[in-house]
Amino acid sequence: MKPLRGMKVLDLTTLNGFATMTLADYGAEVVKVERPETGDPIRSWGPFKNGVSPYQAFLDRGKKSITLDITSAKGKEVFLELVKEFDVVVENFRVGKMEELGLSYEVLEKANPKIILASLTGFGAVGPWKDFPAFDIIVQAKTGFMEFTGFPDEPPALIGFPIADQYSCLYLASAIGAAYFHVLRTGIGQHVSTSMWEALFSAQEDKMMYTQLGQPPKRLGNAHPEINPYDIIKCKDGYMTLGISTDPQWAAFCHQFGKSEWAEDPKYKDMEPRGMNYFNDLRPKLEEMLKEYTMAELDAGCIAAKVPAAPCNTIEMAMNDPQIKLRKMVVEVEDTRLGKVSMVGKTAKFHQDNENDNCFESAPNLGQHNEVYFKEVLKYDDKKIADLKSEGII
Amino acid sequence: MSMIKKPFEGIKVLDFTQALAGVFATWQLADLGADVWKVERYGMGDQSRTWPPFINDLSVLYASFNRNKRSISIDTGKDEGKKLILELVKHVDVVVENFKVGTMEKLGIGYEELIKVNPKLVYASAAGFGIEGPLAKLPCYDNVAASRGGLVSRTGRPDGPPIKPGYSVCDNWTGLNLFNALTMALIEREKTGKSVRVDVSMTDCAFYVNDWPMLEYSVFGTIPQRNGNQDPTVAPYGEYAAKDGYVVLAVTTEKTWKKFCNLLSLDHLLTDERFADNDSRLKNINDLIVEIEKVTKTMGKYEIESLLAKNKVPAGAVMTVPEVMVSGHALDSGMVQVMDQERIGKLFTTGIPMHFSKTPGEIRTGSPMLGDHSVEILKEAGIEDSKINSLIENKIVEVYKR
Repeated sequence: MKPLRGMKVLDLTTLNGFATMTLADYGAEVVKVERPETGDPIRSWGPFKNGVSPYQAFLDRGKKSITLDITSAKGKEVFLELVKEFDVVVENFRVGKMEELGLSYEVLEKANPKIILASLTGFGAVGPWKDFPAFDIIVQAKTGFMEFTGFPDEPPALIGFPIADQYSCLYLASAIGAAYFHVLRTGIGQHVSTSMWEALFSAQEDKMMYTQLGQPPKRLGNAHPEINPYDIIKCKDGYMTLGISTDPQWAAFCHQFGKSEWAEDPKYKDMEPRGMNYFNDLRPKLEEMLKEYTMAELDAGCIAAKVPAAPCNTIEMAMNDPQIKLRKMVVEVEDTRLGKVSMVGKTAKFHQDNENDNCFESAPNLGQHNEVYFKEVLKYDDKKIADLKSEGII
Repeated sequence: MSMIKKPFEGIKVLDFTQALAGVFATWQLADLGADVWKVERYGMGDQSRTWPPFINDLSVLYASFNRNKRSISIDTGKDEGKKLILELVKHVDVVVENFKVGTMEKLGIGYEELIKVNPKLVYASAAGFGIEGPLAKLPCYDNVAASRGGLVSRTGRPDGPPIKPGYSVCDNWTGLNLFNALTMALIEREKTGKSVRVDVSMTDCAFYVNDWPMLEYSVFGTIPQRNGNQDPTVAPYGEYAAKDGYVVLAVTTEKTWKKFCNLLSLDHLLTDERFADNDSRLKNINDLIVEIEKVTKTMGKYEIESLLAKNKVPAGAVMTVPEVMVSGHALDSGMVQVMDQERIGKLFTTGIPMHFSKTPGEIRTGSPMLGDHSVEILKEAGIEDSKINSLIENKIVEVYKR
């Protein structure tokens, strides 16, 4: 199923195409509007293979590409003609840039009252940090997220993937979906936006409320403060995660691994004493025990005993995990320039999906679809197209 | 002007989700105007109501994920409770659940049963591993999904253990994915008028964040190792100690490097061969950290931030949530709000991170007491007063008493 089929998107974003990739993955027609000659700087993100950036191949999968200099007066005119044919414009310029370009929401709305303008920024359109550079690491630092990650006796830990990018882009894709739903119901477009900082800060759960209680939250490493063993423990060939959160799960774990005496021991039998005796007593014993087992052995034992647990899979291991494979989270994309590339699949599994819905088209070359959009959609004749080209507009 | 003032105004959701992942998704719908009927277990409600910490016996975790929703408490284990659910389903657009796989079917209210009474239903599920496959029926928690999906392998020092992000990322990230899925399902239904079923899994969502390294593995055959608090490709780009905490730096060009050294009186590093270019700085990263920290450790984190940021050198203080929430930015951006929460009074809550110029979301109410809206929801579903009274007497429906 392609729930977003029929949604037409003009994509002005650079270096961060996650939000529009999500739209394309679910069937939207996403057209990248790129600077003539150079295109989206993502195209020059190395390392390269066959002269192509794999990052571009990934982020632009299933999209189309046209070239257009929207900073020129003529280019702007062409852009506004395109806006009439589309449903959504997505941009991640710095705050105020769209207005400077003469492409504010009001201008777009005049061209097409149904248009949705979607904006992504680093820290939002207002507030003292609005001009801070939108690096993921800075957003992690300035939301409290980083300070809350890691062990108490070590520095805060930098989360090893661009978490603020991921959250903000999915919020933006969802906001576009919500605004599109509104257009379907009412015919009225609008301006939607989010920022990396707002998106990541909104994931702070109950930490502000802890603060209100006078118990400012503290980072605790991998263990739970009260319910244990809910922790990550070293084993023979890597690390194992235990998610034991009830007494029956604890008993099942003990019996499975020949430690029935722990299941009966009053120090560990019930959750509360088990939590109190965890860090100084039970954890060292578990470390001794787990040393004797491999991740695969522990995984098999925990699955057999229905104990919530998992090996700390490396990416290679996760890619080969039977459950993850079965869920089609690894897909092969035939890129026209790179050949077969393994990429991550989609997270929303529609039950009406067929095989084709987990296939993605190759990312486009720069300006590959100029003819389609300038000639077939805007009905420009060959001379007009040649003129625009010679003037460097397209 | 349209009469519809919110993106999901008029959309009714029968919400069976508990604890966090699914609850996060229906919270987003509620913020954007959906009418969420939270179905809670008779007698005890959502399990997260029992999770500490508490203010006046109310779990603040529960309070933070359930604002704008209404609570109806039903004993779904009893036949009459099941019948009641089938009646309510006729009046809603969406059903969301995150039970253990197979539970809804066991209760007699699985997808196939529900679309018999409501053929236009959107039905969405969140599960630990997905609704099919060898692990489908096993218990799963945030840290379990994060580990199996390879997410925890990304954070921590190369010679240390993997580190789980401090918040329940698999829960709220899965919730966000489910919210996006629900948005798309509603679009599909709006276009076709037909039922849509969708599910997301915590492990899939955890795995999704491995997009870059997986790509690099596929194209170049290399898998990047976790790299502690420093970036493996750019230096200095990472965390540095200050007098009163930590700062992060993101110095990505030679021009910025020069400016950075000038501003922190580290000019001697510019002529030091060990730091001549990005490659040398990466090779000598441990020496570089020592040299930079000689200065940063003598300065306050905000002092460093403002000196560098003012001069367009990307830097930021590592802040605690209590520090962030009283910052001018949190207040100006509206991301710190105060809501009226029954039993507590004024309670801090986050603003809505999605802005809509014509149909903004809104914080209308705090989180509901168990069964607080049982009667009004049943009335809205057209159930007669005498029937409602007998449901309450027979302990099928619970009503919150003030």
